Amino acid sequence: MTNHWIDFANSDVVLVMGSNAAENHPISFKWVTKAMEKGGKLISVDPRFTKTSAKADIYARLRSGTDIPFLGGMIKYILDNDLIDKFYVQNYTNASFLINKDFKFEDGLFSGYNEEKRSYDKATWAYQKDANGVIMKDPSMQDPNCVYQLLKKHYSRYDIDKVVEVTGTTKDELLKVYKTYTSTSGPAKSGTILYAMGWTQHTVGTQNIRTMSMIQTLLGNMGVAGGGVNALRGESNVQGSTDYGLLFHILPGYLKFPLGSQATLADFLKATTPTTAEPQSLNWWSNTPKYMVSLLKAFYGEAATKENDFGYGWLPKGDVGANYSWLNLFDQMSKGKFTGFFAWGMNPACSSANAGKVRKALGELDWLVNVNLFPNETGQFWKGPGMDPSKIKTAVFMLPCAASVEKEGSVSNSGRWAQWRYKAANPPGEAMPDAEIIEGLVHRVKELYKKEGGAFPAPILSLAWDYEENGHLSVRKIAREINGYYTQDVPGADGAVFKKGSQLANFVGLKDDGTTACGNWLYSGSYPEAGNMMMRRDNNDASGIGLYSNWSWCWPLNRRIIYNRASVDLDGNPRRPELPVIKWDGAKWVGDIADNAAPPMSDKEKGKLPFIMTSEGVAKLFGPGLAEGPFPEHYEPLECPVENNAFSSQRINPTVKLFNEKGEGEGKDVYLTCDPRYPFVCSTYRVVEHWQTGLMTRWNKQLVELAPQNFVEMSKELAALKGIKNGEMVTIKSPRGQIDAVAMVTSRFKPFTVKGQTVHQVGTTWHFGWCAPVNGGDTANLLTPTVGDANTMIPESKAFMVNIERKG
Amino acid sequence: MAYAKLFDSSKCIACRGCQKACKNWNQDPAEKTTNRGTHQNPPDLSHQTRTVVRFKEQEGGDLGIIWTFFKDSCRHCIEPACKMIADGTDEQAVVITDTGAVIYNERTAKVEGMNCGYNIPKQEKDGAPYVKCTLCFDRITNGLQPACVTTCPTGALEFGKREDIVKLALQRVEEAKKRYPDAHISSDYKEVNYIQVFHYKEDMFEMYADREKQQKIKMASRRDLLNPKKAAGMISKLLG
Repeated sequence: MTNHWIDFANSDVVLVMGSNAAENHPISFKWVTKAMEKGGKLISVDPRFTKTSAKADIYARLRSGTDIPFLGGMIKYILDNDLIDKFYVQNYTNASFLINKDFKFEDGLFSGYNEEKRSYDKATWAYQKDANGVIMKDPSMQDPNCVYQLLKKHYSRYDIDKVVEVTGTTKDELLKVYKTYTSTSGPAKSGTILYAMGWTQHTVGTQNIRTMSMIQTLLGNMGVAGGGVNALRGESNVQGSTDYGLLFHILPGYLKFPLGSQATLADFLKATTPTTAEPQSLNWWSNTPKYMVSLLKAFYGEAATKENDFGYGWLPKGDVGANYSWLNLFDQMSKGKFTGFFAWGMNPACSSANAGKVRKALGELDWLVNVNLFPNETGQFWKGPGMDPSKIKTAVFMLPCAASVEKEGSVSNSGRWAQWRYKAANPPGEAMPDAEIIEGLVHRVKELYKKEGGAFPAPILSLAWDYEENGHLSVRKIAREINGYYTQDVPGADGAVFKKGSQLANFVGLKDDGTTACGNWLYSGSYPEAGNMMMRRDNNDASGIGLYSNWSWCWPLNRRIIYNRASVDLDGNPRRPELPVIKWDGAKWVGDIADNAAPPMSDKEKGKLPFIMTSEGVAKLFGPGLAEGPFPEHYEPLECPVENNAFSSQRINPTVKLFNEKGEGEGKDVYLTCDPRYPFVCSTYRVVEHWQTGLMTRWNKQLVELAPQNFVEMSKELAALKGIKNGEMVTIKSPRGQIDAVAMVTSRFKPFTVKGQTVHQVGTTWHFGWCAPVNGGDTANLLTPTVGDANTMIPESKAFMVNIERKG
Repeated sequence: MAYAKLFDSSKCIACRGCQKACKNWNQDPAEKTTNRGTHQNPPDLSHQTRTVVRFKEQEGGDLGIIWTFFKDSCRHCIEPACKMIADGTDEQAVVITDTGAVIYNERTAKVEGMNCGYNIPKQEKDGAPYVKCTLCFDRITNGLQPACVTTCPTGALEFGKREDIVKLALQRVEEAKKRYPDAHISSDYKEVNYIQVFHYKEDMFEMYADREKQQKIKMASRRDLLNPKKAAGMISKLLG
């Protein structure tokens, strides 16, 4: 989130789209309810009428997978009716920037497409620059090659009739949403977007979010109280896991993962440190060398020296162009490319798209270590449905681990707050905290390398691993390393000395010369000399806008609303004085921690642009970073009920990776679109009573009492068509698998009219699995396809095709 | 001190935290349930389930669908019909406390002709004690709020002094009317300590309560206070 949970209460319009917040994030509604008590409006956009819709002022339905037309239509509405926040767009976005004259968009494709590689050469997706490398601009925004004009041209195609035809929304509903949401344009009002997996789990997931980010930028809603783009995270600490580089393409603090082509630290830093010639751009990522070297110092300690590139050569490197995401890993596993696998706090046999493929792939392993609270479908895959244990070679080890309340540590919530939690009880039996399991492994692996050598022992043997305190692994010691410390005495201002081993105040002190070590620059400041800021529990709010700055700690630098310099005018005065986030008092910023201490923009010499994380210093309406193109464009889901994309002849996202197999059947990578055998759109989702694959909830009788069995929601019209009665057992089939579920016939689903055709949509949950409870049903991921977003590889679990029949 | 509890349907998101908090505090076991084509579970109140969130969906309204949630549990009547009936058998079986909580005990097992216009009291089998919400008597007399109220994330459940809760309820009606013109307070609010604000015309209360029946029970009980068997007979006759 750019903002935080409590900040929803500051919104004038809350749009919940791609999320069912009332169901899956009930606490969010504490704050949404407060916004509504103050007269704020709630809009719910969802294929199904949900608990969120039940509380909404406006509800609009759309066919799953058509968010870009829905939002693209809103961009057109904003531009046609001149509803942009002019000051904001002119000063804080790249709307006036000129784009390369060779940049083109024709029939669904941007310039530079390579059909064979299913990817783009992005050379033309670039700015025009002058001899000094400064981007050329047209402040009047009239130049046909300026971003504003290109944007206008691109979205001129998203006219309301076409949008309605594709999304299945009624024109009346659509206009109500557009009118209400765009009422937040300008400084007087703010609108917020709450989204979740309903946006990410599509082949165009990242572009769904980008489209909304553009709307927020056009309306001046970024950086302000009650605004922003807010991802409601599906797990209590998933924000923390990405912050710490748990994903394949990043290191801690969103530093880039090194590639094989970057042989030396200098190569890596050259490739990953952006530069800028823009006079007022801070270009925060220019600090990359400091963060990277300090990270290497944290990894390798004294073994990391300037002479050996601080151990950069010991880091694993990715192959250029390779993608190590989940879907690819399991694809490789299914082809026998792995010998062993740690399933750590995961249940891929239920959570993975096309789970049938994963269940088979696990049988290709020599060994599998399952680290979890309970035995699950992954650890027991060999005795699951359709498996013959006598034919499976995989040796499975179960390592029981401690639950979150049985250990100490920090949890980072969606609003970027790192909150310290204390141990409430000892783990049962032999269960251990994950960190202690990892520590045991590290020591044993190091021991083996010491004894036996091996192909490349240096990365393991050089690893600094000193987290013991009083004979036990100490997560507080790890937290101190994450904050960062001085590796030697360093002179400070006015003759003061930062002593070797003392904590850094925050990342501003980080150096690229090896004198500082820092496990994650983003969290630097969370544990300074003064102590563990994440333990703070002061619930006084001096800000008056719900920042609660002394409750826990939030990255970066305890800044509660990021890009907050966009909330002020050029002189640093809040554009909305009654909800001030920051204010320049003539010498310094007051309020929230400002996005950098530099003076406001009107100081031509020292003033800085608000969007410090982009090299341009401004928000990018034209964003060349993503795989599909600089402007979001509609492509149909891989499996969909329409033969043609109404917007171009590119039916599906031209840059997604396709896993194709011949035939049809359980766990196969097959897709069928517009196939009469699979006529209905299906989405998977969650309910409040269960969590993810249900491992922590399916064993809990109290929760199973509330939600005992998987179900499939469908319209009354579809039920009548298929002769299905409410409450009876039905079978849902996709080209990849089938599950049984209880039919829930409801008016909350309605058939869509798409291009004059009736399209039915159904929905089911992925919480259940064959282990427990009895008669609960199995996971809906046996149905979902192996296909991911072109940028993130998040699977398309929100839109695929199924059939549904009474269980015979 | 007389207390009361408020349920405001305009703020309820049916997270059912209240249902679980109730079972947790009262150590009531989970029931074995199945999905019957609705999110509502368990299907009804029982000797193991003192409160249940009822789901109702209808077509209509501004959004095309009206999906309402209602937390059903004992109304803690100021003049409880169950108490009138029970007194015929045993004046100690149902106790009205000065907190406003109507409390049952083991002795309700012997009460003859137990009845309630809201269909609240439940027993495991004939001859077993009746079970229902206690208004968390043990919590509220120790400075705590009822378990269900503590867990509610949106303010759909509130607890306090009766006069404050009545005031709050009437204020909530006025607030809700800005969004939902048909918002109203439950018609029995002067007679009970569990008060509701409903935001749609369709009164969930009317669906799960029979006020006429409640009055008849009370009348019959009054007439035959000293003869419980006769009272029970009269009640079943009155109710047809």
